[in-house]
Amino acid sequence: MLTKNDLKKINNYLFEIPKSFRFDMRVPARAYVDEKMLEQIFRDKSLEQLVNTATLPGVVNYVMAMPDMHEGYGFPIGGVAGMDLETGVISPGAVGYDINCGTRLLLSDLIDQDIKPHLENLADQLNHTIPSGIGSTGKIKLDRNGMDKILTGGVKRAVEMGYGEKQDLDCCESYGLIKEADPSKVSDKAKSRGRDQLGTLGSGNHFLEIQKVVEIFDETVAKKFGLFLNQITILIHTGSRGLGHQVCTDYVQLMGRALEKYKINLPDRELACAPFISPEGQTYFKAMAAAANFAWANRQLVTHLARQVWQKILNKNLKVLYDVAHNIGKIEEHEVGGQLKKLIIHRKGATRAFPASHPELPLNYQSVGQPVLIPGSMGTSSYILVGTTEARQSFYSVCHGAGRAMSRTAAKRKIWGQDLIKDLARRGIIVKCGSPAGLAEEAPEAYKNIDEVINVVAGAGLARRVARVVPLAVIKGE
Amino acid sequence: MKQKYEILEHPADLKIRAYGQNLSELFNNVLLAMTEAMKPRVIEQNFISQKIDLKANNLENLLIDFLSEVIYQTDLNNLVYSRAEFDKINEQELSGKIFGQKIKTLETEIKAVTWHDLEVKKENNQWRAILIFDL
Repeated sequence: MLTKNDLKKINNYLFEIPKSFRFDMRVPARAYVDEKMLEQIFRDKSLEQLVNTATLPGVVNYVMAMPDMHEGYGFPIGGVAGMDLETGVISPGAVGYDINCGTRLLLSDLIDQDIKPHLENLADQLNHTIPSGIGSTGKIKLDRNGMDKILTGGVKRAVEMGYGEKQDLDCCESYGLIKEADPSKVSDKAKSRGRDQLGTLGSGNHFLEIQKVVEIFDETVAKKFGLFLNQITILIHTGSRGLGHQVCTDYVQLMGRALEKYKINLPDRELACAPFISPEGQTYFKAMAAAANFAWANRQLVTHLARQVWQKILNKNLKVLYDVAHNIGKIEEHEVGGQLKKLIIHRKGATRAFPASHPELPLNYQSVGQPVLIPGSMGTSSYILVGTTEARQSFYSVCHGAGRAMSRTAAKRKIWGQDLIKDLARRGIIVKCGSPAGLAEEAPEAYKNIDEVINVVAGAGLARRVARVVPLAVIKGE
Repeated sequence: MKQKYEILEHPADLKIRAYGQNLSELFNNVLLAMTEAMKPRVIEQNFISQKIDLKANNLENLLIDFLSEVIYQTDLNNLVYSRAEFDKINEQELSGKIFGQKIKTLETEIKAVTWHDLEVKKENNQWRAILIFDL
């Protein structure tokens, strides 16, 4: 049983569980938290789960958990682990069921005064135009050929179909597609689930938010990103929908059956994995890449629908600042033992944050670094940050949000959805949703304090604050 | 009346404990627990049936495969499956039908059933299962 005495303080924002804590750990486990958060973390099993991930074959340096960490179902949420590409494993559970769940920030050239008279109408129209997809369908129905093209082409394919602009591609992590995607590795079940889900938000903590920039921390980077005070922005949070969920389900099963073949012993079956270079590992990676491309295309379609509403009501356009994934496995080069090595980086509820001059960044962000989007919980601030060289220590990874602090059942017992909507309305925030009862699960009280989470990220040097935004309207989709 | 299931505390996801005198009852009570958690808005009261036939190496695999299939069918057909009738069910095989109602929407969507902390065992002549679902 893990206690505070098992942790070694590295600095004010970083604690480590040494490899010696448990016989099967291959590397130490690190948690980016401050002293105050450390007390909270022992309330759930996130640290035990982090220790479990340190047992995965081929894991290098450290496994890490970000300050928004909480208990998941195998891998902790907020978890980051890098495995050697040649000797290590890939694990679907360490990526998550919602493959490439992520966020995208759209920028307008308007300020809050410009949209104030239209806000209610904008929120209504966005809610009406962008389906949640639960019990409803998206506006595009893909046939077999169409689906395969989306799985291969991601954002690029969506733009070819007329659902965006060429510069949208530049402003996406991995330019909105992973080239190793192979649609033939995605099951018919997964494809049939995703067939009419393109351009839908999904449920739970997925949303679209109209926001306002209220604070600029770094004028130079803000200018480069195109951010200014009182600017209206739109944040989209969604992923690969039923297609991604099915891909993960299929491959957790497949890998579970292959564990004996590769003589892999795991403390948790949900960490089921296979060597990256094995047929199972390769097949999963190609299917995961395809699902990731579907998610990027999904966020592109939602962008297109948001642009249609924006154009219709305001006769204005929206630009993409950046799009990041926070449940994904990426092949990246990082320093291991003083040498650059190719790794498979698993980020589950964690976001990539590349520094300035990184070759994977688009030209216009090369001089400053990658935009990093961290949404707060409903009704609270969200942050835009920029990647730093200091984040080398975390495989250039940061948190993905505020992180849950209360169970959904406890939130529903404590908070009435209707009261929450009224409370948000009193603060000037419009909420459009189909189910007030379900909304209680997403109340701010159910999450950690985003300012404290960002404080740790910035304090640890993993990313630098650029701007803070607050919500004006939250849209959950019909 | 014997308890069918309980919804347990979990920080982010759905954790349930279900009971049954036999496997059929156990599997049905898991479906009931899932239905309560999803809080469907049913728009047609009549039930639509779907055949289901599965084989697995052991009971854990069978239960996970069964629930994965139910979750898949729910997403595909917009039906919430709250009960099942089995012609045959043992620790390695099941065959029968699941019964679902058309929904307008769900308050909470279940993304998948996980292997994490999975427990299926018989104690004092009663079956018990503990499962965590990703929401």
